Amino acid sequence: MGMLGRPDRFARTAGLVRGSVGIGAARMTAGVVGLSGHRGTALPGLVGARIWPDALGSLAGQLDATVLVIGTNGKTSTAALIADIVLASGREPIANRSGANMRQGIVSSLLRESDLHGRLRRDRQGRRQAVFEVDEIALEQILPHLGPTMIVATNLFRDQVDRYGEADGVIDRWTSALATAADGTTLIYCADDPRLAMLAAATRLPTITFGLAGPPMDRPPQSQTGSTGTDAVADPVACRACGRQLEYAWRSIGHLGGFACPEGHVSRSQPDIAVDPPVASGSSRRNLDPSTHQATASPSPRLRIGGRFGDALARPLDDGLTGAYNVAAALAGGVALGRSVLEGSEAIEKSAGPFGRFEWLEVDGRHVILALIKNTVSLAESVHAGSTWSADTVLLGLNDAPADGRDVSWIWDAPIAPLVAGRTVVLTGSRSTDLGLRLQYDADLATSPPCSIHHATTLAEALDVALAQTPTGGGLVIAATYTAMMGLRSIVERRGRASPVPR
Amino acid sequence: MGPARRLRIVHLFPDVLRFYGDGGNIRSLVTRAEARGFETTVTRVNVGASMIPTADLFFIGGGQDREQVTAAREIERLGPSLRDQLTDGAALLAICGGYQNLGIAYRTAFGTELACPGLLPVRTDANGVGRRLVGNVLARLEPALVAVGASVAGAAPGAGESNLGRTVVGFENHGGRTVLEPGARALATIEIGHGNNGRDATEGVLLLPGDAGMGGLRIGTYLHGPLLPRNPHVADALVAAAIARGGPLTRLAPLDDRRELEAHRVGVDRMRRMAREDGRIPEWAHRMLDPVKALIGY
Repeated sequence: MGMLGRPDRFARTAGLVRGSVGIGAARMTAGVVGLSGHRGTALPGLVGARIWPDALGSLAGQLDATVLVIGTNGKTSTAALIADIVLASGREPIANRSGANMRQGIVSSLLRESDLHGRLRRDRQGRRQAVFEVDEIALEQILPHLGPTMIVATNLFRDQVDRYGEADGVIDRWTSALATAADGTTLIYCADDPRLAMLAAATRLPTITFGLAGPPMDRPPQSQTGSTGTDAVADPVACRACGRQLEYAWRSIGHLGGFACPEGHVSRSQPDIAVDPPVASGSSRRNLDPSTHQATASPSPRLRIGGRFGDALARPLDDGLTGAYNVAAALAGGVALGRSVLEGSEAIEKSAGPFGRFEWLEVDGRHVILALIKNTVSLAESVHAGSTWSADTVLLGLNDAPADGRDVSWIWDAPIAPLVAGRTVVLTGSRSTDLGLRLQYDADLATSPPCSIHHATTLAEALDVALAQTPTGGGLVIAATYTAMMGLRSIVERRGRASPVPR
Repeated sequence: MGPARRLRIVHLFPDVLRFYGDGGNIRSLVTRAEARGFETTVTRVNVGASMIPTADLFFIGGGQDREQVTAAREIERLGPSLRDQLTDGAALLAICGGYQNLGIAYRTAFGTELACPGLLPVRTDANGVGRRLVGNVLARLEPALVAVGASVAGAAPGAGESNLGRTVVGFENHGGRTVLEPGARALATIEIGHGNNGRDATEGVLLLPGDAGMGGLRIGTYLHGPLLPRNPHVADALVAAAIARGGPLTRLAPLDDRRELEAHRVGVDRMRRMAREDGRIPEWAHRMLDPVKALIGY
């Protein structure tokens, strides 16, 4: 022991020194990045991690409660709602609201809330809670460093296969990641998602589930999607026990719905927190005053929440099924944190959604609706919602940078005609020629085409054309991939012509 | 009497094999055949079907391993009918998972050897092969297929000004490594991307009518994107071969392909520019950047 003792002690001292240096360097980086006007997200964490590899464990170990939100769609919205539930309880949650959801982004968020000794600052009640959205493949890097954690899994759709691989592979990675979770960890997941139900069955973790109270009214019956329809929005999902394809009594979004293995290995269970499916409602709730061009809005109707944790009425961030699922997920997260369904519903009553996910703006006297598209399911949901909005013009932006996904073939898997038929269409982005082909080869558009199709080489030009094609008081839908949406949004902001419309 | 003015397409197992836009291939075939006045039907054959209907052109797409296991069982059950029809002159387009499934042998990532009908002269191994082969692909088409394309193509507007009929563009995303049987012809030779296995610069497999006593044109490939809308010359070769059913090819009336060729050209130009930019970054810089890229998920 004596021989090993000294190097051991030496290593520990060196580690402490390295720790302080690492925090210092990272804190400084955070400061510089902050001063430079960038919201700089992952960089401080990156600097800290080089010098202080244990930063995540040391900082996160001081948290009283940690909530991780994982999933394909709805991560940012759900995490924002949960953070609001925590806020309403008098705590100040640490969050990565800017969406930096890789390991380094989370370390950065923690570093910003720590002092030079690597101690997390306490809130007024002397406690800290954290709500982080976590990238699909970052979960396995983060979870082993955390104590008891609430993991909220929203859904798992086929998404950016070029980065994540097949959905089955993501479930395998999550299964092994969850095996490293500390005792006392709870898994909160969507009961309508068979992939998550099979994930939950493969873990030893206690669970809380959320989902729809019953089949949605505004979707085609099961027989029209999947095996006989022409689109491929819903992935085929096989039972992990017997390999047979799951059967559905009803579907909601993509492969979510009332599923069952034909041999009985797995089936949907009634959710612990059940939200009534929303009644379809369009843009009628938002109006432009024709004389002042001032936008007004009546908020989304509240949805009825039921289940074994009690009843409440909760207001979603948007009118569609995605809004309903996000609210149910957030309330389930709140329950895991000790907040009742009623308290949670009150807390999120006035929540503002994150940018770009069905965000409403007023630009030059026109209604502008922003919808972020990134995969087949989000495109299908945007098309579904967009077809109910009163709009004259549709701007579609398709980029293929790594943040967008380099493979753009998903645009062929969702129906697109309901969004663009009879409207003026403006196409832009690095892959706008693919969008053009997508519209040209659409069978439904052959009989009911768009009014006209314009190609714009730059985002700024696309925005100008789209606004010019939209009459004053009219509506413009912008559906764009991540980098195209960021670009379009910053152009709108720079021109100072946009004002947000309340939800 | 000339051949019937119709094209019967059968889409094999779309309930389990449908991945990343492969339905766009069907749309391309239907649109381009109908534009030439051919009455076109698409029949979807799902898992559990009692038989495979008569077709001029079979399409099979990609899927995940679990779905490929299901497809393999169905192909084994219904395979004899498919084999007879292909020998008789029907054409075949098999993408990604379907390409692997219809070869001589396929071992999944789980290590399971799937039953394979040997309709395409390739063997695929996805077990313990390392990272997935993912990215944009630019490849030079096999000259024999370029000749087929040239022999059926009319003087389409925009086609004469370039060599676009000689290249194929798409996006690949596969774990399996595929090797051609000795003497088999690749569909294309890789310029940018990985292709069948990332080693021998081959992409896909091509059987021409008459090859080894076979009837119709058969194409197996890893390229989706989807393949055919941006590669109209490949779509037309399939349409013409399917209609000819192994007999002499007839010319197809020209279509206005300016948008298709523009999308093809955008793909080619972007890939070549990115490859040049990558080439300007020295290897040591790549080695330094790679861990950073891995950390931020680039």
